[in-house]
Amino acid sequence: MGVVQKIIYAALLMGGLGITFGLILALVERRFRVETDPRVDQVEEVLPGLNCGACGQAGCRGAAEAIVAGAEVGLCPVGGAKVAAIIGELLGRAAQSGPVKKAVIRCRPDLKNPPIYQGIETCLGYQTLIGAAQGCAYGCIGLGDCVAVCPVGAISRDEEGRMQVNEELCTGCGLCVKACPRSVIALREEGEDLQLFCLNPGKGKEVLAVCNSGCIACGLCVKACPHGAIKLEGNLPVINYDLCQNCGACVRKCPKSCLEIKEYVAEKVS
Amino acid sequence: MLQGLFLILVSSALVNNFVLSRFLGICPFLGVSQKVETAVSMGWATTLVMTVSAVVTWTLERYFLLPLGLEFLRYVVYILVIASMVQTVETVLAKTSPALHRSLGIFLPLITTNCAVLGLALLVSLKGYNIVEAAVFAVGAGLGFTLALSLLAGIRERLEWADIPAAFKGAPIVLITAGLLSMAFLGFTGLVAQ
Repeated sequence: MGVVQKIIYAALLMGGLGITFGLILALVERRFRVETDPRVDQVEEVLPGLNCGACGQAGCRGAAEAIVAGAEVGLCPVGGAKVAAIIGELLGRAAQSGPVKKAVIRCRPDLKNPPIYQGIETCLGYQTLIGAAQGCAYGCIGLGDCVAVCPVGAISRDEEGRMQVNEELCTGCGLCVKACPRSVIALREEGEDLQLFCLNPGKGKEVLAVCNSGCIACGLCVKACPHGAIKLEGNLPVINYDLCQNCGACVRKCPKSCLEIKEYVAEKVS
Repeated sequence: MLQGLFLILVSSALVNNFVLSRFLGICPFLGVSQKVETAVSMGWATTLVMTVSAVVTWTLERYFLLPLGLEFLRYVVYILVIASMVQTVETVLAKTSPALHRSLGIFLPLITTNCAVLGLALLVSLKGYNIVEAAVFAVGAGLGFTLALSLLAGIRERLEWADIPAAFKGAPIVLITAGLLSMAFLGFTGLVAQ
């Protein structure tokens, strides 16, 4: 049998098989087509499509199915109020989302001796290998697990290597809170403007030994507050937001500048 | 004749178990063996695909590939048959049993790349079986695959409650279990002459 003949046979066979199986598949598809709710596709279109799982569903498709099936339209914490409003319009249901929380990184490290670490460049790796052996055992490690996990890119590192949250972008989904191995990140609500940027519960001397910007539990903020909104608990000031008037007296008195009034910035709706 | 068929069945299901003796299809063996229920369903789906594809590939081999001298197209043709079969099963399953379709997830389309299915089609042509023998061989292989999968799934369900050292949790203990299972299946050697 000639080579040309073989080539022709091969082409005919493969072509024939392809057409045959194609037809079979088409017929089966027609017979067993699954009707899906078109609204699921519409809702999925609106969702961010990051498949991050912050809502507790298996990806955005799962979230779309859950929302159409009756879950709250504001199910997606990443999409926030904006997405909830669009979905609400699509499904004819009102959004019932509460206030959006914002992530706050409660440490601005200025370590006396920068730690030596040559392992994998993640906070979790650092925490596992080094832990409390070097520097401050409570503060921000600064290797950016939160940056990596943030689905909207709201966290970044500034020139001094400190993590900053861009509140215009933050949707309060809380993924960074879970990602941080030292629980440095918390979510704050609107009205909680005064923030403490230190988590070290050690006494003054212990904190001073490791960090230049840590709270030394001097208690000046407690005395400075005209509203009695600050108490010292476990060597750290605790703020009572019901009493705090954002007057800033404590901020001016703090010798380590670890108190700051950070205004709540609402999400930019474009 | 009947005895020969029975021997083929026992041989492909137990003695030369595709997963535990030939080490084919390890991916779904480890991937879909978390729950007995899912493992059994996966086993049935694979058995179905194996049987139909073995018969179809046997026919194609006998009446097209051999007479036309196109044996070199074997792999391509076999994969085409298997992929179409899997797609058909998936479409049917999505309609008839959505829950099962979801629990099998990605492993259902992955039957396409399950080397046990391609290995079976190739073994059939290698052994020179006739069509009935090929079908029985495929059913045996599928049963053996289902057996291996559900055995491992049953053990894994119990392992969930076992106090396993941290270093062995997850994949390592499953691999060790699979190795022990495979050794246990060595006990069938000699039951049937190859």
